[in-house]
Amino acid sequence: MIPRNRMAAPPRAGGRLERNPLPSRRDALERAGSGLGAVALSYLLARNGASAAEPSPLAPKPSHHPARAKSIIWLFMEGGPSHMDLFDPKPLLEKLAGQVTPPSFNLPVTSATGSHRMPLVASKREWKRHGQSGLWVSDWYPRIAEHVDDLAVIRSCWSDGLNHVGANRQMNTGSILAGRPSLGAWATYGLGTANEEMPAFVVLTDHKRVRGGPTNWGPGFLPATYQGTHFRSDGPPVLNLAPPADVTDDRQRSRLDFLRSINRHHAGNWPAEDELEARIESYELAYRMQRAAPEAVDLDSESDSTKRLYGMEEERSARFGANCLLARRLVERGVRFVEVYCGSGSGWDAHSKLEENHAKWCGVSDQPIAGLLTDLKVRGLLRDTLVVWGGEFGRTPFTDTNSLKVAAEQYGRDHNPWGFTIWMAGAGIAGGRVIGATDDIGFRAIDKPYHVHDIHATMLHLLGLNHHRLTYLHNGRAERPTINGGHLIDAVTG
Amino acid sequence: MHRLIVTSATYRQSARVEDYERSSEGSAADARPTVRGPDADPGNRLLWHFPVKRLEGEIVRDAALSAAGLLNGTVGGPSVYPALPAGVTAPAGGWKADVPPATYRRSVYVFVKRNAPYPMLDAFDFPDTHEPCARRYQSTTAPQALALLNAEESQAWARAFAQRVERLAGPDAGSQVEAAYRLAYSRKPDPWERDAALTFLSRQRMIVDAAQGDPQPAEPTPSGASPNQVALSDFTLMLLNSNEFAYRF
Repeated sequence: MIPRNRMAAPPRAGGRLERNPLPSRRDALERAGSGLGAVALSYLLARNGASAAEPSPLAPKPSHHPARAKSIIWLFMEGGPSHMDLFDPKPLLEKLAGQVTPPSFNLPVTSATGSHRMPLVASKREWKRHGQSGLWVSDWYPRIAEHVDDLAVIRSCWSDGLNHVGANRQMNTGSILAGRPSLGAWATYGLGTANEEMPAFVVLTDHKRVRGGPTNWGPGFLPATYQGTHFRSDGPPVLNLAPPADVTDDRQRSRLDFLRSINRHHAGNWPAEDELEARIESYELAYRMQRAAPEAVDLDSESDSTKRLYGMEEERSARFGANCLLARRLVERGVRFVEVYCGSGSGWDAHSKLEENHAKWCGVSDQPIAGLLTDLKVRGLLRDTLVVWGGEFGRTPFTDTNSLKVAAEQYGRDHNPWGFTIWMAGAGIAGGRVIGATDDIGFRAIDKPYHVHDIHATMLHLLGLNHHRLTYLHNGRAERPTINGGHLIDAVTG
Repeated sequence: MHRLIVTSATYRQSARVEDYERSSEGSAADARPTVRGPDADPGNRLLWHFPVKRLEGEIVRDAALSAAGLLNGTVGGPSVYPALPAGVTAPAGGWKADVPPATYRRSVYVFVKRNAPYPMLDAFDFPDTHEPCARRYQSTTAPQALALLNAEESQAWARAFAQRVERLAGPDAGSQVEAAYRLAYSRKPDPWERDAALTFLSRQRMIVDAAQGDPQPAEPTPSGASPNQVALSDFTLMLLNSNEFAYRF
């Protein structure tokens, strides 16, 4: 397909291009008899004292600047949580409730369901200030509210995706269109893995399939080996970790050595197909996971009090809580990027009956997220783990057409990419702060608006990567994760 | 429509980029300026070569059943319920596992429980069952490798494949390798492959011998298979796991 690195730009001082880890086509041809699978193995052998000719594409790489986070746990509230009912109180909405949005708020041509001429609805939540910082959090998140002094609440986020698939994809890849690498893939490409026995980028889901599917954790145009690994959402996170009982480790290793050699022999005919190399890598990782993963995903080894901390003893929060606990165990073991979906498959998408919907999903997520923050802190992991909370967009201050005909208490809210809240915690970020603001009805980000690219630039920065220097040559262009945008959120990185 | 597609020049192209390079180099007499595909269209958007693609999960399974000689070609009728792997709980409403040969029917006949897709297919990017699927996405992950390597199903395919090879080729290892390559890849092994396969077979025999001779044998091999037979089914299992088997070229 693409002999990409044949076209690689000349080495640039301090740049990334010279470290492009995959071979040129010519290299690959010359190396047809050895291949990346062997390179991966030689990397592992090198760790045990033998010599390595060349690094694996997943070998650890130096960061651009000192990293503040070793890992990211991204808590993705899929479907779009309502910021004005959780972290961004809007008293003016109480006065304007029942009216259509005044023209001064600069409505868009249309909203996702054409609801922009519908009446405004006030939040029905009780709001309180919390912590020493006095940050506002609604009564839907009482446990998370106890952690406000650790949260940097960014109220002025905006994005381009009006609907779920595009918005999920942009939040994960920077573009609403399919084809670009996910942020986790960029991070893995930039830094390599810190634990060669586990995937560097893991995706956990709790409900249905994520809208847009694997493009949300795909490699895009990066080599396929950097894609995320989706664990199963029900039962054991990874099946088939143990070989059949009669297969000894010798025998399994010998099988895989043979498989690698025939795959390598075959890949010699297909030097431009990085997927074949990625598949060879996936078998080596599978072999190593047989040893490490059963322990890593074994939540039974955790104490009852830890399980309680994560809400695992309550039915509503048991599954998401288990995923949060699994996320902690994974970052503890060096997994670089863990994306934990809450309500995967647009769970939070409350076009009607927002009260019922959000009460449910807040009940699912409040205790597990608070427990995760507590646990990370107690274990000293919060210092170098970045926790990000947010959805693909927020929700509108006006109600949705879907719920016009039903009683006022069954109101819903439409998709709002013009203004919404995310928060970040850990990685040395100063907490207890509100960053940016939406207008007085929570519709548009107006003070210090931060686009998805800015969020991505900031997350990469905390991992030690400069989004301008993290490039990959594709179709003649040095592509970067933030496309042509991206400014650091100074209040977070400063 | 299907005929038009599959008989078109575009569909019948080789997937090998090098084939195009070679033909352009060979026609040195041709003075027309030529543009190299990899330069002009590295992403193959214009389909100047056949796209190399992994088989969908259903086809991986069907192809494995077919190579093993297990495929049950019955057309129509109710869906089947292959056994669920250990650790996977039966979905609400139950999952009454069928037995072979019903379970060896094509994957389109595997019952689709909306909230619990069949794990072997699920590992290979089975589409979401809650909404229409406009396009299938593909991933390449370690859990897929684990499924084809370790699942009880794939062991059964490999054993049947090995027995079929033994029936066709007799006890001679060289003939067995030839037969297995023909069944898996529709071609003969090249000399390097033949050699590598024979080396592997004898190495596996030794490993199995040693494990069985152990004062505390790990676990008896299934169904009293001889070390030769175990080695042969390890070989067929690896063919089913190989890139050449799992990709469309």
